[in-house]
Amino acid sequence: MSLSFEPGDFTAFLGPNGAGKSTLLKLFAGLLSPTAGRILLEGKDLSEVSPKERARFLAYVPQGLHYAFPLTARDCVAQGRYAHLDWFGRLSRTDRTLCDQALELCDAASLADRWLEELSGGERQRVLLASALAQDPRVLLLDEPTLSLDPGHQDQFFRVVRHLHRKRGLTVLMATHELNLAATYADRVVLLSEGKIQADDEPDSVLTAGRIHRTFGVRLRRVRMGKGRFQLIPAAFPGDKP
Amino acid sequence: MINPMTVPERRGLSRPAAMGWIILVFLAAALACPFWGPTSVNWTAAFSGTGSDAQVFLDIRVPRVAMALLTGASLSVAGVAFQALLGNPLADPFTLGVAGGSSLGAVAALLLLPSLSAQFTGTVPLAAFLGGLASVALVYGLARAARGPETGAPLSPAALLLAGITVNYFFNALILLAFYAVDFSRSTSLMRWILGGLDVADRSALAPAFWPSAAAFLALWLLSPALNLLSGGEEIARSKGVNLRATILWTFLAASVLTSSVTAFTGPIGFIGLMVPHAARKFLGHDHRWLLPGSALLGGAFLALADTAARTWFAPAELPVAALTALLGGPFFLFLLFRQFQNKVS
Repeated sequence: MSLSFEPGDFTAFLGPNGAGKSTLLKLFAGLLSPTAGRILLEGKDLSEVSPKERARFLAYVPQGLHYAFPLTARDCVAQGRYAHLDWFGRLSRTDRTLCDQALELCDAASLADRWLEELSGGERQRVLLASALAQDPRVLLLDEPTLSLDPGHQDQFFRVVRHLHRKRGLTVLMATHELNLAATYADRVVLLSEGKIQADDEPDSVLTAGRIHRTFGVRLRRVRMGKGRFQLIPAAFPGDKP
Repeated sequence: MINPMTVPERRGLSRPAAMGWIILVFLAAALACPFWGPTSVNWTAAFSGTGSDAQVFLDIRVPRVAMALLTGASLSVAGVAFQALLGNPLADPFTLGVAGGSSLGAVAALLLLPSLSAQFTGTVPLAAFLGGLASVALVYGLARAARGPETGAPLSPAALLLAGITVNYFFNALILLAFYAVDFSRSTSLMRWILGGLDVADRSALAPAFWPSAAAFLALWLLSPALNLLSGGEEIARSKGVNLRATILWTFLAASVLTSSVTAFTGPIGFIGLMVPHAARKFLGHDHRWLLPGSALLGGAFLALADTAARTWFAPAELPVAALTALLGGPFFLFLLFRQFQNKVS
């Protein structure tokens, strides 16, 4: 497969479980190395980019994380500055300001002095997003970032992401299996299944009822929402005759 | 949902103030410990610099306390390093089998290369280092294999600890076997390689134990920012720009040097690397730039005091200090283990 992304894209990778969405994102983040093929970052092979240089360009937001030792939200965000700091990891006044701004943007400033493990899932994801922003990246990689969040927190999370995408021109690549997230936020959808690209275009032309049925085995229909956006809802109630 | 046990509050002291107290405790232990001992010393005679009183003080007590300070510091720092590396507060040179591997290496050098060991002071520490490195590679490899291909998950503590403790036990058996096979009459001195002590430490051990430890400490200290990130797991560390391969390699090497350079002289002394970092974290928090020096000072003070207790309580007989640290550390280990299981469930 061959894919390329332009600065300012908001791309969603959609596909059933095991389609390779997360793997693709981890490859982009440099967390996995490709066994075959190449990933180019501005024409340079990603494997030849130093880890710090990579972290200044690409920031990865995981599904969740396990810290072995207690950490405050503020320290977690400060860790995002690692790739920008001197050899002894000293935070300058500018670094601290950037961290505070990142917390503010992610609506997490009030969480700064709390321990990560006492935060709710939604709060923790916002802190992780702030930590990614502290990297001052050009590309944001979101790996099922709202998997465990309720609709309210999910909405809040993506409001922040969309704001960053529009106001700061961040490129966003997101892996998800939630069709409506992609339909709502993405400008481009790459549909993956069985390790192959099934479709790659804007949501309107990728997410057709027929293709969704072929890929996910479920019948959905579109409801227009205005501004060219749409949502997908079940075509019939479960148990109804088709 | 919120388990208060998982959220140890840092004490009200600021970090510099806490560090100040730790330095004071270290200095107090370093200065006071040589004045205790099983034989009474006439201090006027001792400070005049000649005679048997001075000899006891300067040639026996001072080097022994110095060795205790160094050993406690090295093992504590090694504990901090292993804990960051494996993302688990239960890791320490003893529970990972590194102490057992180092002891086996030292014993192998003493028995198989006796003339070389006598000639070059570096032979025994080097063999201890190789033994320690072999055991840590074995334990780490087993734990990684047990995890499977997943990258984000932490290493299984059960796999790590079972492998570490089994490796330790197996190496102990090899040490016993070696002594019985080579020379039965020397088997009285083998206790030290099973249950370590500071009774044999003299002045000549100080330099070859100190310099490698100091270099390894410095290397780890410079890796502090990366170690801070590594505690959050390999995935997060890598995504924030840590050079994972180099960090893991250097941390393993440094922690193995720290363990083996002292274990080569004292034998395995367990659980220091478990208890001391835990206490240091309470006072100094999680940042390795503070945690590493703090653990070194606290560990040195702790072992010097423990050894002073071990050599005075049963005077004129002497308890190996490793017995004392195991008496304290065993229950502590179980407490941490229990807490980890509890967190899993809640």
